[in-house]
Amino acid sequence: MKSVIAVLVAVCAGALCLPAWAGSITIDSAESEVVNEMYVVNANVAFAFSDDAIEAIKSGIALYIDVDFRISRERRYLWDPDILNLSRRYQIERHALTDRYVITDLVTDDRRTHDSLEAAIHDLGRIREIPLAEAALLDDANEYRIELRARLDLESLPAPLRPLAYISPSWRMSSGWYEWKITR
Amino acid sequence: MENNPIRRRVTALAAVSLLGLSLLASLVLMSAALQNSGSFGTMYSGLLILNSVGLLTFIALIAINVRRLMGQLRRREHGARLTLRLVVMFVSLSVIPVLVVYGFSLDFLRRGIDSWFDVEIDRALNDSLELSRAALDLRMRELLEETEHIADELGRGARAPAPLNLDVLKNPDSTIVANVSAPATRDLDLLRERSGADELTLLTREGRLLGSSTGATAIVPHLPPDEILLQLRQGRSYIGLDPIRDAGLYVRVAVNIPVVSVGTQRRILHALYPIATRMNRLADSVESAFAAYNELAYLREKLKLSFAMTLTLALLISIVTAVWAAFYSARRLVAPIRDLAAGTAAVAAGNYETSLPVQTRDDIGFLVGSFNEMTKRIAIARGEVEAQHRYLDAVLGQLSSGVIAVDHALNITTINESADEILGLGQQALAGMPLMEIADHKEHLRPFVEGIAPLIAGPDHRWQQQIVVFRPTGRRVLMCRGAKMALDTGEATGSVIVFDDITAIIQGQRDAAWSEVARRLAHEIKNPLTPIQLSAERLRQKYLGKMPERDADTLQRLTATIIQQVDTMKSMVNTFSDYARPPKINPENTNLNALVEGVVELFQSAHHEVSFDIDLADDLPAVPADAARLRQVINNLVKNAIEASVGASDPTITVATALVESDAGVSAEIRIADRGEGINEAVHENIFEPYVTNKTRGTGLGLAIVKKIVEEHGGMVTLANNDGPGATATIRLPIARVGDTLRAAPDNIETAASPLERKVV
Repeated sequence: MKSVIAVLVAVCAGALCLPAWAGSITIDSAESEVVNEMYVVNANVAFAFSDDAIEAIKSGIALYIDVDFRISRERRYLWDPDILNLSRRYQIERHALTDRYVITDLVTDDRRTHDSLEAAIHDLGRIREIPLAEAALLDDANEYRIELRARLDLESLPAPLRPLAYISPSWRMSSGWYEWKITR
Repeated sequence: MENNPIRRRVTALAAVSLLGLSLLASLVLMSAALQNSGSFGTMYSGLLILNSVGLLTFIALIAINVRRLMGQLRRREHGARLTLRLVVMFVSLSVIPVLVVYGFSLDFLRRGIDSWFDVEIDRALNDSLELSRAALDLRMRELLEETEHIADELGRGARAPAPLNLDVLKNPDSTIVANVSAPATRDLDLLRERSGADELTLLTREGRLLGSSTGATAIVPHLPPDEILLQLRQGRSYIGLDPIRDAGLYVRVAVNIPVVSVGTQRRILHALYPIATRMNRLADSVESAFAAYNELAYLREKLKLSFAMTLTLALLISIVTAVWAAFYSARRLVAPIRDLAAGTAAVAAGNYETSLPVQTRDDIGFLVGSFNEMTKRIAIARGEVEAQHRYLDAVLGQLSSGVIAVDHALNITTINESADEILGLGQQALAGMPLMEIADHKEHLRPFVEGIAPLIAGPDHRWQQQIVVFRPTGRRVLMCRGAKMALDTGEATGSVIVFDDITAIIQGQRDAAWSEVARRLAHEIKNPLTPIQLSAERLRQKYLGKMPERDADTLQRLTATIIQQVDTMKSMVNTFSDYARPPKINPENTNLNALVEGVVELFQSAHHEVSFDIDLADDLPAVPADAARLRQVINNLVKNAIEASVGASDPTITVATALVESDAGVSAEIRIADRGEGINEAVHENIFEPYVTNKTRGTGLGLAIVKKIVEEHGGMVTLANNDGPGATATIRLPIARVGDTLRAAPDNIETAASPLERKVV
């Protein structure tokens, strides 16, 4: 029984003592504009992957990034009801044969390849013209708030990696909600 | 009701089994999930949590069991230690082999996973990747030359391109620049078809689209990313393989179009060439294998950890299930033994009605059955003993003799009701009390206890002793007979004392004897007295006148003496008659104080030589007594006191009444004390017997009559010397026994109509 406890303690301690440098996702800027009667969002997101994550990508593990959008109507006294929830999913992986890093927008199936991981990560952070809602959906009478968040989806990691990813700070990456008001 | 515990147990067992099975199933799924088998992959985290929760549930169950067991151990409950031993045994039996298997499994697991990775395979995969790249490099170099060739062609024959359809080009990165010098789309199509490219695009160096020709791959051209444009601006051509989704590998080539004449815009030719299907497939296969191997190599340690974790979880679940099962089995095994132990303790404590439920048909069930049979028989035997005891008690209760049994240490073991009554114990529980302690509780029993104790302790097996005790209600003569009790083995177990109150018998015998004497005396003496008196009178009448004066005087004196003495004798004979006559008293509620006062007043007026000191109790209630007879008693005693006081230095007679409460009840007490010479020690013992007297004169029947009358009233009279000069006669007349209600004394002697005043407690 003692040896079992020792193994468990070792696993937990080992997981917590992984490289202390934690990954982070920061939304540098985000804005919305109306193009062709559609609200589109442009954002610049800075991904700072931890060494673990970078090693995983270089070893051929595909990482999935979810970018969540939320529009809510602002009310003074009551909670703000959500008008829209939308999620875009991106994949970043290394193609071994060509030694290139591939960013895939899993919604549009758009693929972009880069020679270096840095270029690929930079490209991943350039979120351009994501159509959110028709302009007619939001009226003039109310104020609206758009929120944006980017996070690494741990559930898409290979199963052996997941328990560690859940307890290790180097894998828990989420930007938190970045919000701004819609101006019409 | 009987089924409830069984049903509950079955339910609990089923629930725990279900939990165990579901944990086992989830472990299997978890193991499958780890190996990436299909949809289980997504369940991994959930399964991990489920198993952990299951594990915690079992641990909580065990904690409850451990706590319960600790409590039982602390309270030293029956079976707790056995349960502990069984649990330790079961747990050791199950955990040690499981741990051994776990250790080996962990080792095999590590070795197994390590064996997937081999330097040779690693190298082979890398080499195959390199080979693929080399093969593709060859093709790519050809394609670069081909593209540069096209670029030269385009550079030499620079022409303005035809305007492009803006609507077709929705790519945000492409900004269509019209009216710049570029080959017509048709020319590009031709060049594309000739070169075998899938896509040919003409761009400015800034990346703006000038024209394109696309084949089957896409309607919209794939434009080069910024980094390629940068490279081209630096004057270097770009060639690379690009994986395109669902279309396999493509060779991407981007070259600067040579500037032939000054003023011509710098342009870029971007081409995408497909790779031959077979080659594509082979390259894809190598890529997938390499990627899979690489991923596995990266996950190697994590995989080991995850498998170890799953194995550990399986081990923990097995162990906690085993530990719980150990508790459960131990409890079930020990339950009947615990019941038996508790039952035995109950029997030892005297509860012979204990019966245990027989739940199993095994050896323990047989044992429980035997135990039940044993307690049943003990209960029957005990019932018989109790019946015999009750029978003996009934017999003893019916006896008029008092019976006391004592053990060898003189502790009372049995005492019957008659003994209570004779000794005046007043229903005090004496069984178990040492015999000698009775005297501490009842002082009047000290002569009894001190009289029989030496005899019980003595060597005689049988003895007999007459003992006199002075109870509050009077003097009692007890005839005690004792015998030592012995078992069949000859071992002494104590003694039994049987005693009877023979006071009445003795008194009756004495009274009868004295009455007979008195009657005979009266009869024998009274008959000749009248002829003597008559003869003396006749003698005087006949010869008095005829005699000379001197003789006549003599005759006169002699006959007078005869007549007077005969009178005295007659009076004595009458007293004898009084004594001999059968008792006849008429008890009425009598005011004792009034009676005493009346008598004392009579004597006070006649005897001025003595002084009377009267001290009467105010709270004296009415006494049931024959006033006339009681007056005779007081008369006698006061007369004795006056006679004793004659010649005394302090001729004071104290007459007092009092209310005396004792164990036996309430009595009225009359004390008459003189300060004379006191009673002669020689006659003290039998002072109340007829013809026993302190005086030179008197019939000797006065005190005997006093005692007779007092005893006829159920009272008691004593005569004792004072500490100072003189003696005190004390009469105690019972008023009420314990529990009776007292009546107030009537104002006069005869009446008694006063209301109830108080109750004797």
